[in-house]
This record gives sequence, structure tokens and C-alpha cells, in this order.
Amino acid sequence: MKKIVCVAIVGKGNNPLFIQDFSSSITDENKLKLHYIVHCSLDIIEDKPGSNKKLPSDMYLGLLYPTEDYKVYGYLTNTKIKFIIVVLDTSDIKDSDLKLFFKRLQTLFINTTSNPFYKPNSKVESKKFLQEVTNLVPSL
Amino acid sequence: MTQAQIPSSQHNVVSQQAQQAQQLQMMLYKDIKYSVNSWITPSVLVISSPSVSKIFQRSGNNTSLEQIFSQYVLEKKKVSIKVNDSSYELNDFKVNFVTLKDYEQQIQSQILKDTASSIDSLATDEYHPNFKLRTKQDVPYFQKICQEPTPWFEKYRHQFIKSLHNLDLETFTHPIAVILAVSSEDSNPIGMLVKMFEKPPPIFQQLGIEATNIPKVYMLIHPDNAHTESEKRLNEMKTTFSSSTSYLLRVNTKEDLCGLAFDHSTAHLNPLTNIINGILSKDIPTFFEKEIGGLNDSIATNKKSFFSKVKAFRFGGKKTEEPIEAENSKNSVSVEQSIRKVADLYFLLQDYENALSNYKTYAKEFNSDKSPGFYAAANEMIGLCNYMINKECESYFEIAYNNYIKSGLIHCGARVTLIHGYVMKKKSNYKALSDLFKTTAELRDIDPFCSAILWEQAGFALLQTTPSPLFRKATMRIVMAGDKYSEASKRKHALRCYSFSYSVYESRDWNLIDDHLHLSLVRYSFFQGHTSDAILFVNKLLEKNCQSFQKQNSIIREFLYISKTYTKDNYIGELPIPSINNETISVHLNDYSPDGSQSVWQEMEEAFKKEAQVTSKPQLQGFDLWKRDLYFEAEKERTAVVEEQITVEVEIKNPLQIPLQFNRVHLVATFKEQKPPVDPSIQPPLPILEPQEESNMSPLDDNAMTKMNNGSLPFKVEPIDILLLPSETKKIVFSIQPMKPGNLIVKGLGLCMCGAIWGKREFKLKNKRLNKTRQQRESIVYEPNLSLTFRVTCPMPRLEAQFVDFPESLYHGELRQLKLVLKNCSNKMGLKNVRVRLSHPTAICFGSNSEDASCIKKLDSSVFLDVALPPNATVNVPCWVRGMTVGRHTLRCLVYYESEAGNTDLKYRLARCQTQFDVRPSIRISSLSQQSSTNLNAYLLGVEVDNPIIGGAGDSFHIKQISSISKHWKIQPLSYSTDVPTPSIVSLNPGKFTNLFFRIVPSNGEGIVQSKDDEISITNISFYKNEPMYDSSSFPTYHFLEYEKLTIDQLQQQQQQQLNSSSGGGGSSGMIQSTSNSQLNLMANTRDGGDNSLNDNHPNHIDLLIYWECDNNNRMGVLNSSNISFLPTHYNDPSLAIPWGSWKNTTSPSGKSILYPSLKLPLRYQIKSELLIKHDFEKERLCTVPLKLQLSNCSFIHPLTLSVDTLLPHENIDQTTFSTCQYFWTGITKYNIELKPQEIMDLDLHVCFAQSGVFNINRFKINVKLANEIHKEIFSTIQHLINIESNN
Repeated sequence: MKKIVCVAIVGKGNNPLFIQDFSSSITDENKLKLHYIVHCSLDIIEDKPGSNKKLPSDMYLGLLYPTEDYKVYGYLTNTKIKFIIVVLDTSDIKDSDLKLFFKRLQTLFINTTSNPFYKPNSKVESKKFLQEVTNLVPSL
Repeated sequence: MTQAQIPSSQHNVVSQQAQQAQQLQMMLYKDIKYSVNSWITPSVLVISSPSVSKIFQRSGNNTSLEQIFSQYVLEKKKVSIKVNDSSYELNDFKVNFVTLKDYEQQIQSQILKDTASSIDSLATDEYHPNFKLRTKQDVPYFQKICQEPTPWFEKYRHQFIKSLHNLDLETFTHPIAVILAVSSEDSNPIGMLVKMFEKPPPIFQQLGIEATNIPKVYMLIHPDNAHTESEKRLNEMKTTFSSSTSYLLRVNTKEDLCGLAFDHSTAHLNPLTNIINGILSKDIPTFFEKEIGGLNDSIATNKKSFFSKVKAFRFGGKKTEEPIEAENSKNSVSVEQSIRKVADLYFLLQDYENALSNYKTYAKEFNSDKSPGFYAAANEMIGLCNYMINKECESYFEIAYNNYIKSGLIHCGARVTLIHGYVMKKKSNYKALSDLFKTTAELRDIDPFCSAILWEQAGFALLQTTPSPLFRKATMRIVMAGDKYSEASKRKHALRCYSFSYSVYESRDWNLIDDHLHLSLVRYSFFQGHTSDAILFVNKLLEKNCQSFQKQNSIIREFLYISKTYTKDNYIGELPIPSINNETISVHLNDYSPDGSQSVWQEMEEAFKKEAQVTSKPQLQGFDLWKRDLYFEAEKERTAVVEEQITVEVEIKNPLQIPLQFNRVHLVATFKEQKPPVDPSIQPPLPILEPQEESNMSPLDDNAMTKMNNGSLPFKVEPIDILLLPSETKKIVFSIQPMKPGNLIVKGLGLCMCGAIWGKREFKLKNKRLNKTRQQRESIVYEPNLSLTFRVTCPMPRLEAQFVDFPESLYHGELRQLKLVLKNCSNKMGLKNVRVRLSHPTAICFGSNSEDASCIKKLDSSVFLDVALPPNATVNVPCWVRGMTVGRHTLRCLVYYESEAGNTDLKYRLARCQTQFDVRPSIRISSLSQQSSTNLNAYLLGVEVDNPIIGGAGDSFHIKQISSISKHWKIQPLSYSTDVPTPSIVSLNPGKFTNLFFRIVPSNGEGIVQSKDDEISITNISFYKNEPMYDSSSFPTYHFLEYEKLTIDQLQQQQQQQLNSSSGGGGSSGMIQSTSNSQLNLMANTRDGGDNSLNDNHPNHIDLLIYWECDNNNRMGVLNSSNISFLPTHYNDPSLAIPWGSWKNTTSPSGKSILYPSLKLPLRYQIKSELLIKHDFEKERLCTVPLKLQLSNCSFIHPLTLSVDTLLPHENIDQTTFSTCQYFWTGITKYNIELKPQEIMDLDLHVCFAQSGVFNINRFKINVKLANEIHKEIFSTIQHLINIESNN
């Protein structure tokens, strides 16, 4: 069973750059709910003291908030790009694993957005990126 | 009996100023204690006979006895109660009057529904008008401007707490008194009263109510129309029951509420006041005293037995366990119930300490596993007691909540939540409050409205959280509230929630959320009648086109359904689809369609505008240019003519992934009749009616169609049905036909979407930002776009023009006759003043012969055709076309005409016609001119003609005739003297060349005299003797020649301009010569300006016309080689400064002749002498020969100043003979002379020879003075050989 339900990347202006769910049996309603959850987690990220930190060392924000079914983890880059993943509440994940996962996700994102045809702060529509993220998801 | 003493002022406020009362009420709702107290209120049971109910129902207003009673307890009533040792003084004692019906287990959902609808009137459209929450920073502002976003919440809470009783768990509803009422109309009222409470109603048994202690009051209702004696009955009652509990109530059935309406001023006279006061002051206190005492006793005894039982259980064996348990449980229920009852009674007496201790005891009897409901209820009450005495209560509420949920009593749980929430809010514990409300709202079986209220509160609580509000989460909760509201079909609430939250997500790309919100907003905007909002959101919903086509299908279906259901007249206004490409809207007033060369037409139209003097644009120069902004002509609306179609081309697109059907798509427009001009001097006798604006913005159904076709609308439109496939774009031409003069504005498209709903799509034209004046620059002003605004003017004739017999292809120079057909399509009006302007003005000559030819003198003027067209007339205008330049051409012809009747709005109209043709190369002509070496006044003209087409495809051309046209010159054949050459030398097969030579001689004999200006000399040389000759001076060949000259002039002027403009930066080597020339030219112009005016009539010109015929279809044509200048030209005559002596390609296919500027002199010279001289050198050593140097000034204008010098012969001494073979000059060797124009002068020179031989006499130079300092020296290069022969 996959632990990750949703991977989202949110841009500087709190606009979604990438949002994808990774659950086989997900209804439209749940998809919507996931979007709302990701959106709500931005509140928490804004509140985190780390969001104003200049140090690049700790971009991992940890557990943002638990809902009944899910846990939300966040990761904030220096360019205010937010990486958010929603995992099933039942899964117990080590922080170190999460950090590694986020790091890899960021690398993928950087590689994709370095494409000269990518317009900064626009939606990532690269199929390759989606495929790579899909491949990355089971690693957690 | 105690009379209630209540200040009358408060009462008045309540009864009179309802609004203030409501506010007061709202204030009360804010306090949870008030709500709790109205929940926990003792009840008085009213049991009345059916006839009593009838009496009250009859008296109108459908009232009942208990309702009248409750009016009498609205005031604060003082009650003093003594229980055991303590006495209670209750200042505001309230009772509820209930009937047996109220005890019947009500359907909970109905209560909830009623509760929900009780606050319907408070629902608002917006939390705060025009507020948009977008960022975190907006939250404090929102809290400032909108302190109470949900004013209905408190009322709802109050109603919810008040009305939600759980009869199994609480005893507040147990009656503390019973009123029994019968009517004197009943047959045996006394017996009935006895019977009524002989046995307590079944509900008492059911709820375990002990009836013994409950005080009973007996009432006899005596309507005034009853016959029986009331006093007698009362006495009977008093004896049967007790005098203190029997009352008689006379009622007046004719009055409202049987004359028992509560009025404070007369209350003390009212018998009901006595009854109520009796109950409150006497019966209830005794009941409390007895009941509590009795219950306490029973509890005490039961406890003992309980403890003994426990002991027995402990020490007894296991055998007896089960029956004891069973018995135990049965007994304990009643014990527990007693405890509960005592506690509740204490609570009613507001003795919270005693109540609390009893509740605590009560709670101990239960545990959360076996009977969570009772346990929860106990804890709830403990919490409430604690709250009332300001002690910690939250933990109890938590326990109560959890256990209620466990036992499935969701709504009791909700009640605890509401109370607990209130406590939390008081402590500003917003986060916990929000989570509590959210958890409750998420419960599965909760009433949707209650859930919605809780979600909403949870949301707003989150906005209050400090330090930073979690506004995203808050809005999400408000969205959830919206969902729940819609589930409870409270549309107003739902719309408010959605639109409030929408601003947070708006234009941030959260697709799924956006879709969800948009869809909801569309629905509820429609439901609330905000159609325009709904359309806006439909637009947004469909804008991104990111849904699947199934989804879009359902969206459209729903949209159609809702809009059909909720709009008036089936007309929705602005529709969301199809999308219109506003940039591509183009309008055509006449029936021609635009092509790629709109600019060509426009140029011609502008020219006509100028000609008709319609424009008022001032020509600005100098400093005025600074102010040119002020002179800009405001754009005017276009003028259309009544009953003529206006066509509008629109590109429409289906943005969706589903096919869409649009029926009866047509243009919508507004029309306003023009105000009649008001003469200010005349006072109008009647006020002039402002013309009504008419439009067709309504469904174009069959009714409207017939109405339109009957002519009741001021314009007609043509509907079209369109089917747009997914993502298809179509260009569609719509038409509108104005029927009356006035102002017509085309607004957009009207259409019926999918056969269901009518609406329109407005065109949004781009407006130009005005930026001309300072005012405009400082503010943002847009120019109105008038491209769809038309002034409809009274009828005008309409002309159609068409070329007939226009050849598809022409040879270069070919002449063809054709016709321009002009047709007046109007059957009422004639037209006049027809003018024609062509894109190729030199290609066509109008006319059939020299007399009726209509020609232009300037290329930019129009041709006036002398035709008048009466209504329905057709006129053929004959004309000739000539292939001017090789290539493919589109000939555009713009015909200008005016109405015979005249029209102030529209002075003239234009008709277009166009045709395409090819011009293919035919033959080419080059010419060469040279001075004749024998005659100073004769020149050589060589003509080289070639057929450049190589290969089999070309035609053969036959040169028929050569004509020259010149003022002063004529040509003579030179290649042959008398006989005409064989036709083969003038027949040009493909790839063949032929050369012909002519001599140019003055036309009138020897010298050139200034002939009359008009006269021209024409020479025709035919190569086919027997055939008639072409007349070169007649139409159209002569006119075409003139046209060609005009073209060349224009070309030269252009080149001159280019040269002038490029002289500033002339750096390239190729330019140097021309630059110096133009400088010279400039210098010359300044010296004797005005000379150039003579250029046109310069005699140094000969025009050559070469007529050819072609085998193919007997086509004929003429090639012009105009302006061949052969004379040596004057230095300051640059336009003539074409070098002579070199071939000039005059008819190159491109039509361009190349200019070779150079400096030449109009001077010719010749030496004349005897060529063979016999001389006897022995007789005379030297032979002196007289020579004549003939000098001729070819110029017609300029005199020449020159000096002639003889030069010494070369020192060319024969080395072997040591003798020189040269000659010597003798006599006068230098002349300074001036030559007048056209003067020929002979100078006498003498040359001396010392020996025989052949000598070349060319050792002289001519020095011509050009300007003051500039001289040009000419050294003779011509041979003049003299043969000196020795005589011996």
C-alpha cells in the first residue's frame, strides 16, 4: 500500500504549481478534500517560524497538521516554494526519510524548472516530471 | 394572591416597539444562561375538554387556552418557595404551559427543521458588503468592520437548546401543576373534570411521574352564549373539589382571544391573572416542598436497602447474583430517577449547590460503558451547575459530549457543544472551539443545518485565532458550511458562504477547488436571482476548459436547466458561451467583402474624401505642429443607408469539449430615432418627445420573428442556426437591415442556446486609450469605439460597377477594348457625378474615340465620367486597357457617385469593383541615338527590337508600324532609302532581334524655328504598305502615351527625391557622381530657377511608338518609347541628361528606365573644308587651306560662351626623315564667341601643310564657360582627314 496520498508543490504566491494524488481508489470528492488540505496547510507554513529563516540548512518543516485520515508534511525552499505531501495517518515515517524524500523531490523540481521553456511560477505540466514523481513516491 | 409588580414602561416597550424588543431579545440570546433557563423551565400541564378547544378555536386566531396562559407569564413573576429549612425567593419565575400533545414523542427532525427556519429572516447575503478576503492581512480589517458576521447564530443556539428536550434523560418537562378545563357547554362538566384526572394520563406512567403531589386546578369555561347558569356550576365544583382550586372563566366568544388578551393595564381585573397568581403563589410552592421532601425520603430509604443489598451481594454466594442484579437494576432506575428529579427540582429553584451535589450522586450511579446516555446527561448537568456557580465545567462537558456521542444522542451532543463552545469563547479559546465545532459538525447523522451553523462558527473562530489567523482553514470550513447549508437547502446561507470563501481561492489556480466553488456559486447565484453573477461564474467555470467532457456536459445541462427554471421570459441576458473573438469583428456597409489589400482601397477612398471636401483636417505647418493634438478629427460613426444590409463578420468559438448548438443566432442592436433638429428661435408649441430607444434584446421566438417581418421593428436581422463542434472556430457573417433613419448600434449576438434558453453575447470592442490632451493623459479616458455604431440615413441610390470583357491576360503593350458596366440598383433615385479612381490609373482609358475620352491630367486625380443614371438604369462605359507593366495585377476600381436628390448626411457613395489580369512580356525595344557626323542638325536613331521569349511557347510578333511624335523632329528611314524591307526583318519569332535605323531631322525643313506650342509632328512609317496605318495621334494610343509619360515623370520625381534625401549621407562610391550632380543641379537652380518649367515642352524629345501585331488571335499593341532625348543636353538640365551614344533600354519589362546623370554640353561642332587638295609644294613651300569650324548651340534656351583655341600639332617628328608630318595653324588662332540658342556659327581657320599626306585636323580645343569659374574644355576627338596631294 502506498503511504503517500498526495504530492503538491506550491509557488511563491501560494498558487499551486503541481498537485497530484497517488491513491488508486480515490474519488473526486476526496481529491477535492486533498486540495483543501494542501491549501489549509499553507496557513501552518506561513506561521512556522522557519518561514522567515535565511539559513538554507533546515528547509524541512516537519509535520504540519494531522487530520483524521492524513498527516501533512511540509518543506520550504529559500525561494518560498513549498513542497507538501499528504500521507496516510496510519503510516509511521521517520523524519530522516521524509527529509530525504523532500530533497529528492526538490532535485526533480529543479531539474524540471531549469528547462528554458518553463515559465517561472507557472504550473509544471511536464509529463516527465509527473512520471519521475510517480516513480519516487513508493520510495518513502 | 400576589400581584406582580412590574414597571409598566418595560412592558410598553415590549408590546409597542417590536423592533427594539427584538434587539433586546437578541441581546438575551447572547447569554447562554438565558438559553439554559428557557430550556430548564417548569411546565404546567393544561388538559382541556374538546369543547374548550373548540371555543377558543372558534373565536378566531386559532388560539388555545395554553397559549392565552403563556401570555400571562411573560412578565417577571416573584415566587417564594420554602423547602426544608431553606427558602427561595425567585424573582423571575417562568413556567411553560404544555398540553399532553407536547409529551408525545415528537419527531426530532421536525423540531430541528423548525429551529432552522426560525432564523430564516436573519440570513444575510454577505457577511459584509464588498469585502474580499484575499490575504492574511485582510483578516484584522474584516474583524474591525464586521464584528458580528453571523447574527443568527445566537438565536439558533437559543432555539436549539430550548427546544431540544430528551424526555428519557431529564425531568424538566415533568409538570409541576395541572390545569383541567371544561366548558359549560359540555353535558356533565363536573363529572368530566373528575374523570379527567381520575387516572393520570399514560404519559405519567411512561415517564415515571408521580402524580400524587401535583396540584390540580379546575376550571369551567363559560362562554357568554351558553345557557346554563355558571355560578351554580361553580358552586358545584367548589363542593366537589375545593373552593381554592375551582375557577370560573367567562369568555366572550365574539372578541379576539375570547376577550382574554393580555393587557397590562387591565390585567388585575382579569380572572386569568387570579388563576395564574393562585397557581404560582400557592400550588407550586407547596408542590416543591412536598415533592422534594418526599423524594429525599424515598432516596434515603432506597439507599439503605441498596447498601444492604450490596452487602448481601458481597457476602452472598454467586447463586443469587443474577436475580439480585435484575431486581437491583429495576429498583435503581427509580432511585436514580428520584435523585435526578430532586436535582432537577433544585436546579429549577436555582439552588445550584444542592442540585450539583445531587447530580454528582446521580452520576455515580452510572458508568460510561453501560449507560453512556445517562452518564452524559448527568455530566452535562454537573457542568452546567458548575458553570452557574462559576466553577470549572469544561471537563464535564467533554465527558458529556463523548458519552452522548457514544450513546448515539447526536443532538444532545450538539447541545453540549454549543454550551461548551460558549464557555470556550468566553475564554477566547478559539482554536479549541473551532475544533470542537468541526468535530461535531462532522458527525454522521447530525442535522445538516446544525452542522452548517457549526462549520460556519468553526470557520469564524479560526479567523480569531492569535497570533496569526488560520484564514485558509477558516475559509475551508466556511465552504464546508456552504455545502451543509445547501444540503439543508438554505440557499441564501449557502451562497454567502461560497462567495465569502471564493475570494481566497480566486485566480490562484486551485483548479478543483475553483471548479467546486464556481459550480456552487453558479447554482446559488441563480437560485437567489443574481443572474449576472451566475453567468460570470459560468464563464469562469468554463474558462479553463480543464474539466472532462462528461463534466462539461453535465455543467451545461445543469446551467440550461437552472437558467430555464429561474429566469423570466426564458431570457437570461449575457450568456457564457460561445466565445467571440472581438478583434476579428469586421463590418461591411456595402456588399463587397474585404480582401488583403484593404489599404489600397482605403487610400483611394481617402482620396475621394479629399476630393469631395468632406474632411476638415487642417494642414498644419511649423509651430502649429506642436498643437496638432488639438486638431485631430474625432472619429465619426459610419453612415448606413436605410434598407441596405449591414454585414458584420464575427469569429465565434466553442471553448468546450462538447458540441454546442445555437439556434437563431442573430445580431442584436439598439435603435434610436434621430431627434428632429430644433430651431431655437421658434418656441416649440409642444414638448418634443424624446425618441424611444428600441432594441431586440429579447428572445427571437416565432412571435418576435413575425413582428420583425411585419416591420414593427426599426430594423431586421437574419437568424442563422449554428452547430459548433468541440473547440471549433467559425467565421460567420451576420446581417442587419435598418428600416428607418436614426442611430443604430450593433451590440452583439442574440441566440438560443441548445434550443433551451435565450440570451445574448455582447461584443466587447477595444477602445483606444486617449492620450492627446493633458487631461486625458492624467486620467484614463477611452475613446468610444464607433465601429458598430451607424447613422442610418434616408435612401440613397446604389451603384454596382463591373468590368465586362476584361481580358485575363495581355501582352505588354497590348490594347483591348472593354466596358465598365454601371448599374443603378435603386428603383427610386437617380445618381450623378460619377467619378472613377483606379489602382492602376494608367492602365485604362475611358472613352471610345478622341471626342468622348475622359482622361486624367494627373495621376492622383480621378476620372470624371459624364454619365447620369436614372433609377434602374444601366450604362456601359467603353474603355481601353493596355498592358503597362509585366506581371500579375489586381485592378481595383472605385466608383464615386452622388445622389441626384442630394443627402446631407452622406454626400457621396462609393462602389467597388475589381478584376485581375496578367501582363506577359511581348517584345522589347532599345533605342540608341547619336549625332550625325555629316549634318549638324541631324541625328541617328537606332532601334533594336527583340522578342525575348526563348523556347517554343512564345508568339511571333510583327512590327507593323513605327511612329514618332515630336514637336520639332521627324524620323526618316535610314536602313533603307526607298523600298520597304521584306516583312521578314520586321517579323520577330521568339528569340529574334532586329535593328532598324532612322535619321532624326527637323520636321519643318532645315533649321529649327520656334514653332507653335500646340503643333506636333507625327511621322508614321509602315512596314506593310498595303495595310492601313494606325493613327498615333488619336485615341487611345496617344492617351496611353501621355499616361506613360506621366508615370515616367512621377518615377523621376521620386528618384530625384530619393537622391536629394540620400545626398546627406552619400558615402558609397556609386553615389558620388549623382551626389555631385545633384549639388550642381541645386546650384543651377538657385542661379536661374524656373528653367525646369520648360522641361515639359522641351524640344529635345521624340516619342517613338512601335505597333505590333501578333499571330495569336490577331492581337495588336503598341509599345511606347517615350522621351528619347538625342540632343546633347545642357549642363543644368538634369532631367534631360541622359547620355547619348549608348543603348537605352526604354521598354524594359519592369517599366523602369535607369537614369544616367552626366554632364554634357549642348554644343555641336564640325569642320568643313575641301577634303582633297592638290598642291605643288615645289611651287609653294606651304599649302594653306582655309577651314570652317562650324559651331552649333543645340540648346533652345541657353546661350553658350566659349573660346576656340587652336593647338600646336604634336611634336611627332619622323626620326628617319627628320621631317615633321604635321600641319600648322595660321591666321586667327583664337576666337571668343557667344552662341545664342540654336545659333550656328562658322569660324574661319587656316591650316598650313608643309608636305603631302593625309592629315587629321583635330588639333583645337573649345573652352566652354559654365559658371563663373568653371570651364570645360573640349578636345576634338573627331577625325577630319584632309588629303594633300602633291601635284607632281
